[in-house]
Amino acid sequence: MKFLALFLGALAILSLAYVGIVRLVDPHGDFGTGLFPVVELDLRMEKMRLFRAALATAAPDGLILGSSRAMKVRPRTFEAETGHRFFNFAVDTARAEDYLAIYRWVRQQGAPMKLVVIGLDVEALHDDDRPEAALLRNDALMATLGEGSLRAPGLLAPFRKFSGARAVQKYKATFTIEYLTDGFRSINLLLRPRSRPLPIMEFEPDGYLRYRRYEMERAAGKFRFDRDLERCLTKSLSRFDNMTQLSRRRRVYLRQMVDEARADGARVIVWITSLHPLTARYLEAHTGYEALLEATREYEQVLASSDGVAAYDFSRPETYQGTASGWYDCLHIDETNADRVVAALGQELR
Amino acid sequence: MVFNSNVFLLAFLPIVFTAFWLARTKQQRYVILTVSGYVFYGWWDWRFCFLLLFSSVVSFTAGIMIDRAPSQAQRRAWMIAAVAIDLTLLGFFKYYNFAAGNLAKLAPGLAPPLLHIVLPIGISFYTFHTISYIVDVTEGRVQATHNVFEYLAYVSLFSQLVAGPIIRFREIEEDLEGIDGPPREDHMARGIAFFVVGLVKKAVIADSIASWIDPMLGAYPSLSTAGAWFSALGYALQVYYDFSGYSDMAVGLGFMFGLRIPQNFNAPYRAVGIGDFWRRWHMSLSSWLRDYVYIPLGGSRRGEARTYFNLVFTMVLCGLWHGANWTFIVFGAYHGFFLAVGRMARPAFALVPDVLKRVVTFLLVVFSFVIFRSSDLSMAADWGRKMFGIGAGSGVVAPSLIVWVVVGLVLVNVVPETWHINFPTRLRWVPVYATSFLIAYLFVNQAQTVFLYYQF
Repeated sequence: MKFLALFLGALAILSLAYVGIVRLVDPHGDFGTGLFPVVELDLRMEKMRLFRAALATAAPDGLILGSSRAMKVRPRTFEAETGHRFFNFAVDTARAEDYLAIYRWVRQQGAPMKLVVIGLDVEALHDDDRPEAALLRNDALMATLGEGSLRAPGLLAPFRKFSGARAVQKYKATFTIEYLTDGFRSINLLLRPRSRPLPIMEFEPDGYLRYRRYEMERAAGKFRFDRDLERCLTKSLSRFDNMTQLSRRRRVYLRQMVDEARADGARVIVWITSLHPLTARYLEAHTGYEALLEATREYEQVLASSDGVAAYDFSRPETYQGTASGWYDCLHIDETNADRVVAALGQELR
Repeated sequence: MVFNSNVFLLAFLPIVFTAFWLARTKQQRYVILTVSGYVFYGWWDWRFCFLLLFSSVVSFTAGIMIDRAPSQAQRRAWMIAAVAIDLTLLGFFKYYNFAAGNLAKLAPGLAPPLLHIVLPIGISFYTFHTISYIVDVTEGRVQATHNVFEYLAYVSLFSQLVAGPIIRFREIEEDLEGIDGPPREDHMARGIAFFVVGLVKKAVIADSIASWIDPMLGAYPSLSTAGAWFSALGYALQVYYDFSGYSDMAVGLGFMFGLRIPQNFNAPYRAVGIGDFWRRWHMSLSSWLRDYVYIPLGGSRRGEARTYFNLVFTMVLCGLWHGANWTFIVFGAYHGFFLAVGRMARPAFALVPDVLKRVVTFLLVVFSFVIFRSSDLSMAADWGRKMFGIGAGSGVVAPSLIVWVVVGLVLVNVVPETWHINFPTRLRWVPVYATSFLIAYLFVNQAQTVFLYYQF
């Protein structure tokens, strides 16, 4: 057993060394070390930071929720239509529990909500009931949901209430090749600041997303929507892995969010987000997307009839006069289509 | 549960390993291996543990009854009954819907209804374990065990339960009998080395290649000619590194528990003929089919025509063993055809330089994996046509995939097979193994995937 004991000992030492380096470099800004540049933003953290900054000037009373598919919805357009000050709090891979957690956190910050607009993805109601890792490691958002409300994955899930277990989970999440690569990128940026490429995603102070690099490529006539089409389609497929029906638990989260907003005196608008027609066809061929979309529509109508939610189905681009070229990839609309979504909601907003 | 998962690496394996070596008696260790095998299997769906138990009990009982039977006729009757039960279970779970679906196309009025059947993971593997045991006991090649936990431990051994290698009882009987011995330092070192190499093969190489080719094949109509070639080559490399990686991990785990699990791969892409390929690829399956199908059919002893038939028939069964799909049947028939051609033209092939034979064999295997990987025959035909520029789309090939394919091809031709590596067992090599494990774990923790052969 000597060999095994030494192997495990060496593994423990290497792991500790890895953790120490990761903690120092902190490429995702998870530990607040601040010595090296952050190369991969945690969008939930970033939006929270921006929201706090927005509060310092004038408190937003309109909120845009959703996933990255709702990030191009421009708060200023809503402001022009409604007179309310909006903030786009759409975060990556948002599920129903994200909407509720974010809404509650926003209210905790003292922002009075008058209008909440939710871009609802079908898979936001995925029946795997597994929250996103970025939500799980976000203590502030998780605290709003209460213990035991989510089925967190992993061996340590039952021990989440203990800070030690949360710390272990946080460090364990750094044991990925992506984290390691980002660590090298971070070190490289510190050593060679000029090597920093233009980031793909940037956010304006109101949470609005800018695809600065794509915008430049478009301006130069070099942008190709389909350059990474296969990967994009596969990514879309993975979002529907093992999804057979709408999650009961997540429907409860969504309804809870709606109820709390209405109790606060806010109007709630829900619109089902669209996919590029190519993606929709692909998903229909490989998953139960069609039936799941139908179930989402039905649930949206239930919310409309019982909770007074204004419901819109924009799952097909033609429903909001979306253009075929108004896409950045197979999942994400551009500003043209996003403005058309807002225009289609216009009647409701006025 | 899969080897490349946190629950296995951080909980299951440490617990089972500790319990196993703390146990002192043979019986305790059999029980620990049995229970751990069922937990490992039941992690996926506990209900199917009953199926595994039923199949094991049937073959265990049959073994005892065969052992006690006074005549050869009775021995054969017990064997036929037990094998029939095993094959009925396999046939129902794996092939019922396939047969019913095809019958519905041919004679809609006669076809039985399609059923919602979940294919139990690893059923093809453990059915072949139990069949080999029953046949070997009947043929007197092995003495039936009367210790139910020894037998249950053999069938449910977690290291090879769901994706092989297919081990015959006689291959592991000696180690099972001596399972109460102390741990051996050299076994432990080799076990760690095999496991780490397997994990690197799977998590670092196979999964990285898969991350590039899966999206391409998900949208295969857009494959360009280059894309069709690189995805075919990439898949051939992925399936090798995935399955041989699994087999290495199984062997490594076996060593850690004092069990020597046989070799399953021997540098298959260096084969100089399809026959040679099958002596190197999934060796436990090909030798099983040789001993329990091909030779009982008459092998090469009943004339040339019958030999060709036996080859093709055995390989069609080999294809069908992989799954209930026409692609697998055609995959098997394709290999059977080239085995027959190889035998027929043996004198002519003897004149061909080995390098050329190796290249041609590799290309034939790559084409067969195009059929194997396709969801149906029309996809296989379309993919194959695109490889020759017919109907090719404009999809691009990522430079990373090109790099992986080139590196993969170099590795399979240059680096020795895991079994042929003389792993240093000196303590100064420990940091190398630990570092390799940690790197592989970074990939494992990034995205957990299942092994390709879990579906069979």
